[in-house]
Amino acid sequence: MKKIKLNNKGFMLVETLVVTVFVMTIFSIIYTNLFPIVAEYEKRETYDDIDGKYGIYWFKKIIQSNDVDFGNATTPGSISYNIANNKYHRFDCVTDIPYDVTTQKLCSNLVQKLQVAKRDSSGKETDAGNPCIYLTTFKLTDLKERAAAETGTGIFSGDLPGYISFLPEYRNTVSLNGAEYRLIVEYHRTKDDNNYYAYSTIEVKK
Amino acid sequence: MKLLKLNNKGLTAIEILVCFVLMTILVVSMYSTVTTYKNKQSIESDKDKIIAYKNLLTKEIQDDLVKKGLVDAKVVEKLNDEVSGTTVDKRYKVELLFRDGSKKVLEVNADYAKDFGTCSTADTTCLNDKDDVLTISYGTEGGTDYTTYPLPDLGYGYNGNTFSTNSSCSSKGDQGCKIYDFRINNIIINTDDSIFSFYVGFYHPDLGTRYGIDIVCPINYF
Repeated sequence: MKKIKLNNKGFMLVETLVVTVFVMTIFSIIYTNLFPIVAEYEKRETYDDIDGKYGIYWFKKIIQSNDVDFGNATTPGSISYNIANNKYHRFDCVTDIPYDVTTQKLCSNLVQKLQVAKRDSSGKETDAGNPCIYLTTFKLTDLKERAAAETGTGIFSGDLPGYISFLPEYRNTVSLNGAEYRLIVEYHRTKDDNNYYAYSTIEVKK
Repeated sequence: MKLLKLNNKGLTAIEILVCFVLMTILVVSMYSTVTTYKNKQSIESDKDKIIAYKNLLTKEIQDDLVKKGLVDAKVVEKLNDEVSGTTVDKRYKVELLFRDGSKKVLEVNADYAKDFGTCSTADTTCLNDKDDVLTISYGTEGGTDYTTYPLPDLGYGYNGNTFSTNSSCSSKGDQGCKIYDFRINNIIINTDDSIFSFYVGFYHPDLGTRYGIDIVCPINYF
């Protein structure tokens, strides 16, 4: 009968250490990868919050009123032209509401009270800049491409590209309300010593 | 038959020691991480409650403003009452008139806990309901839809005898009145420029003044 030789040596200390180091490395990789997810979650808290949603509703009402003329796609500078050629139009309370002074004033007051961010053409935040109210197409495919290509420049210098990339493309969706346009607003909340940016979107049917 | 020879040596003292040291390092390093996340979880839970409160009230009020249409807004009571030079009570009341003729009131009440009066042997707890009272109410005045929404209770402490004018109170073990951790910090109500704006800023010890109810609505714009 052949003798049975049992190996009862167990693991060596070095082997145990190697495995421990290996497992710890895996854990540390998982841990470091978790941080960006937490940061992203904190950023997304300011996307489409309830104040932003109700605030943007009033700009939608103004844009849907007869006081705002979209013009046509062949007239440079008109809303329709800019959306067709630049993929977005930056809404302005004065130039886009040329004939009704009351609505013009209401729009400017809403910009101030709702704390809509103001930026100049280079993307720098300044009180003299235009409000960050952007009108674009219902489907965001084109705007997403432009935001991705121009991140860090002009209007895409803040966290706006981050918000745009967060939004769905709406490529295979048709608005239930028949909306052709989409409005995006950037807020800069400073009440009670706060200092953060918030973003909101709403569909617009003209 | 040859006897089986087993290795019964086991672990040496040094190996066990190394294992213990490693385990201790691991547990100590994990402890601070777990504690941090436990605190974070508690703050997140508070944040959830604050956001739920804010969303509930904002929706109640904004639903009327958007669907019914605001015709007029009048601030009928505005109180910023300084008590004992340290606490400022705030009470605001606004009447909102809608296009269908209905009228609702929106009230904010921040009555902060104060000294509970002259000290006596019986004064072992807060007297006369002088705990913090922090509420927002909305609805038809005297109607069934009038609801008072107290701020969520996210913990509290006691003011003890901080505001007592009688120094002998401290020896009687008075408990003091409740001071809630989550409080109303700031109230701004405006009806200028044909826009009704209503802001109630909250304060939380960990979240600061990050959250508040912020309502802006044009008057007579449908």
